[in-house]
Amino acid sequence: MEERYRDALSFLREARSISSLAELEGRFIGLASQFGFDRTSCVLMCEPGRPIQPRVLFGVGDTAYRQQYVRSERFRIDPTFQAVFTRSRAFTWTEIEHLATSDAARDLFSQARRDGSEGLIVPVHGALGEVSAVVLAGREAEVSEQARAVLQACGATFAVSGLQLLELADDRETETGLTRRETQMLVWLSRGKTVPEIASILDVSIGTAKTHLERAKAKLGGQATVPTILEALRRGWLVDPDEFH
Amino acid sequence: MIHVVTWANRGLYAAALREMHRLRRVHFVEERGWSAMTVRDGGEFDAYDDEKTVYLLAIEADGSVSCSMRMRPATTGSILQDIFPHLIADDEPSIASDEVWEISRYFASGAARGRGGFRRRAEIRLASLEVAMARGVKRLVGMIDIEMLPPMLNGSGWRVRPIGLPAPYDEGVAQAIGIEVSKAAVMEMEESQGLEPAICINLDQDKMPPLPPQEIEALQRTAALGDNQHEVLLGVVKRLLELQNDLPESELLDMVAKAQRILGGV
Repeated sequence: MEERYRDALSFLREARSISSLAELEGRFIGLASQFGFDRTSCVLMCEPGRPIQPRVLFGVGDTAYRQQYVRSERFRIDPTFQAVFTRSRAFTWTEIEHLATSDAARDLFSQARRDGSEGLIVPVHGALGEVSAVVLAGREAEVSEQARAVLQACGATFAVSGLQLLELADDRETETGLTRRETQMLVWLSRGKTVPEIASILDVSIGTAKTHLERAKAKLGGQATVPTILEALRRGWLVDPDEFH
Repeated sequence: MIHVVTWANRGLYAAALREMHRLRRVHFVEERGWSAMTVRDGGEFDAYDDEKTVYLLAIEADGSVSCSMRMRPATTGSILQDIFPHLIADDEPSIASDEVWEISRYFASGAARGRGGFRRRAEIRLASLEVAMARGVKRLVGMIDIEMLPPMLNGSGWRVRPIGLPAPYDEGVAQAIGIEVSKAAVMEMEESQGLEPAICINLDQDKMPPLPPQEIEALQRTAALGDNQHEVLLGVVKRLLELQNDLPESELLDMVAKAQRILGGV
């Protein structure tokens, strides 16, 4: 097996245990560079029940350009953006460029490809209808079927792992031993909500909600959920969720 | 609840199994365009539909099948080992083990699709862990289409791990995954998906009255509630008379006795 494919397999196996976003970004771009891509970004396209408003979440070498792209609402004329919703497999700029029929849309592709770059877009459709995309770009891009398959799996893993790290990072310690999110998890559980329901309330993925709960359990003696809630109550650590603003 | 259908109780599920095979044809052959499939009697079948196979079926109140999955011991042949061995990395432990079962043909139809079907699909995934645990299985393996990887990794409730690199096949890109089976994994699945334990219904066909499985499920639910049992039993007798009105009285009484045992929680 070629070294880059060995690296891809390691990335697939290890990405979810990486605890720093910077390290995850470094590992992913290091892998992508072996396939000729030198910049990448992960963009959250939409979440269920909300207006479409893309957000650039993280990436390497591409985020400033991508943020400008979002701010100037260029996604509204970009067939690439629309294709993320309708396609499930990774696709290239070349494959989508013919759909750019307006001058403004054609100009987008000219700008993106001015240095001879090719782009590979990995659509990421989540469990509850959220849609993201991992955009890869580079001058020496290799987009063979096998390379594309591997980059799709690694890109999707990059998006899922990165989003979870981002959600976990957006959490503050409170005066108790628990973070804000960990406390909120226990409070809502004590009121009979399920983890998927709480994930929806807190606007985080189910995986992140689960991680908050596991961390709370570890801090309160490593017990099951109900004893963990009782222990938090005993310590006076559970406050009304309305207190969280 | 999810019905566990085996070789031993398949007699109770003739209609539901026919419907499942038909939906497999619709989903895999017509919608996804898988070309190398065997279609017979309007349904899709393959070599892994045999006496060792266990089917998990979500059966709705009207008798329709909304979600299904197939499970099978990997020691006696598996899609991954026999057809797609290149999807498993060389350094992965062999899947030809008594402790490994393969899952396949996981699909949802109708109301079990989309956001509204999240819970039904989760029930099937939990059922797969419960069935595996009950048979001493430590690991499930399977092949998914690459676009399913993100929801599998985050939100499925399974402890999923890629066990090789993806590779293109005729109709898409496939990824092999392994799923942990353990008490902790089952508890995590229940908690993360908001499900109650013991999601499976294992019906013994010799002890069941000749009612459709979804009606037996309803009967069991009523038994669990523990009230209005006489009214329910009366309803069951009427239903049995509708279905089997030419039976001798002794056989009818035997069926009523079976229904009574279910209501009694036996």
